[in-house]
Amino acid sequence: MKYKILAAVYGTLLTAFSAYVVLDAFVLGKAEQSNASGMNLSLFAEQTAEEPVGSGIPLQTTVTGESAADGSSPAQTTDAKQSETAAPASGTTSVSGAKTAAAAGTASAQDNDGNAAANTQANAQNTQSAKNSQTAKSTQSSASASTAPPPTETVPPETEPPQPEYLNDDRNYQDENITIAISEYNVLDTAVYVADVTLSSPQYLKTAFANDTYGKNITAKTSETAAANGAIFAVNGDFYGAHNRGYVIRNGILYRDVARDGTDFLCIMADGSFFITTSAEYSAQELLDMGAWQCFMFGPRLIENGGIAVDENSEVARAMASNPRTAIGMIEPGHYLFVVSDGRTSESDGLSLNELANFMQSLGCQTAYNLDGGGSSTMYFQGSILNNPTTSGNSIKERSVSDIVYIGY
Amino acid sequence: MFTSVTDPERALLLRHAAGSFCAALFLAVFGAIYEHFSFGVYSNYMLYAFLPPLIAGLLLLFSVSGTHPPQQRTRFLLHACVAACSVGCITAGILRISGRTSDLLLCYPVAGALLAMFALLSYLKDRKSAS
Repeated sequence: MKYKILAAVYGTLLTAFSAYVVLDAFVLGKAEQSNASGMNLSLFAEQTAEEPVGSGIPLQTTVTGESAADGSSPAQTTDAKQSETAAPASGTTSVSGAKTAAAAGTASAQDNDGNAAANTQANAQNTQSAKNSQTAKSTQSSASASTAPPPTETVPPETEPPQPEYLNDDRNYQDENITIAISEYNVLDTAVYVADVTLSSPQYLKTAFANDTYGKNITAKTSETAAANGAIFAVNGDFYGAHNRGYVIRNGILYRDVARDGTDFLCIMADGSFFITTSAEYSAQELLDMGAWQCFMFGPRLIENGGIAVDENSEVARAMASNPRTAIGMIEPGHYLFVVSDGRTSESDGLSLNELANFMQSLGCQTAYNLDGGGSSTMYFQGSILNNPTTSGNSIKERSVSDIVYIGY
Repeated sequence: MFTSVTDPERALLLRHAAGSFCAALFLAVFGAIYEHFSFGVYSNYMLYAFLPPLIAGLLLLFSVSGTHPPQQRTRFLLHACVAACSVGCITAGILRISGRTSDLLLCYPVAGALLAMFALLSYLKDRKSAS
């Protein structure tokens, strides 16, 4: 009799604890930082000050009259190409922009002299208000207001510069900094949506937390978060809120520095390059000091140095079969591909990681990384959902996720 | 081979072993059904959740023919260990398949290891007192 009572008590405790574990993992929300929409744009200003020509990235802050006039710039060709697409940057406007950008770079270099990492939170606060501005150019201008040249130095335009003819429709977007072209493919009986994105600066490749809050189980639909942040284009992120471990660096700000073994991390650096590593190789602070603008922890790496990094038998432990997928790839710094595949429906089987990697390689990706997939896979463009997000295949419905990756100002 | 067992204590052990095998069968079927509807997303924890009760059932079965069958306290500790491990496997499987992790999952193997150790100590004590 005694052991029967003990067994009943033990069973009750075990059941209650297990229920709590499941609730804690799925339901119980824990907000750790609200208003988590700050950005450390000083990463880009630093780059302008220390490395005006970047590493082949047509950073906006380097698309200036002074930089472009400097024949020693290895990025001059790229910048020149960018200037062609960035038609509003006429000669007169460029002069003004150059001085403003230079001033921003100087101010930032002073702010971050010797202690860039320690200032990330302060920078976040400084840039919090800047996030609401419509362009990064205005952000830089406000950041450098104290050192900006007097208005008299700005040469006013004598004639109105010709306005570019941008193609903006339900599959294309273009302005002076961002070009997005959406294509749809059919790969292995699966609808695959590809966004070809070209940015004048990686600072337009941003991330946002659901409900502007960093924390566990804080979720919102990709489209809701995208709309709240004025995103032009968005995909779901890495669902960082489903884990207690793993680096979380977003928009140049470190939110979590707890290592997570056995997981590939993708860092999008301030120079626009992709860098895939593990927590065994670098700490979060080291990555931040190296100029990490975004850091995702899902994986695995799909393509590295142009070669497929996953084979048919080395699928991530989470999924061995075809499924909806979300992935991000880089053709070259500043030129990215976002890929979302349908799956789990009668129309689309889905892709395995190896199939996804092969497809992205065929599109020219040099580096590619798998983000959260399955029911989370969502592609948003100009207010619409392009793919067919589904968890079970029975209904087309968006899943709420922790974070998004988006293109916008 | 065991049909000749007439000792009530050993018949009880057989019932316990049969119960463990039933639990193993249930967990195997549960895991298979769960995996079937998880779109190829799998977890070894879910797949092998049936192993703890299977091992416990085999231990109880072998102990029937032994000279020192485990006593009630030892059986209780053994079943508690199996429950902690199996429920832990199922919970970990659910979380892994959904792509989540939780530090709380560490409690299950710790509890399972402690209970297994206590069960072993209890069994050794049973043997010592019997001899």
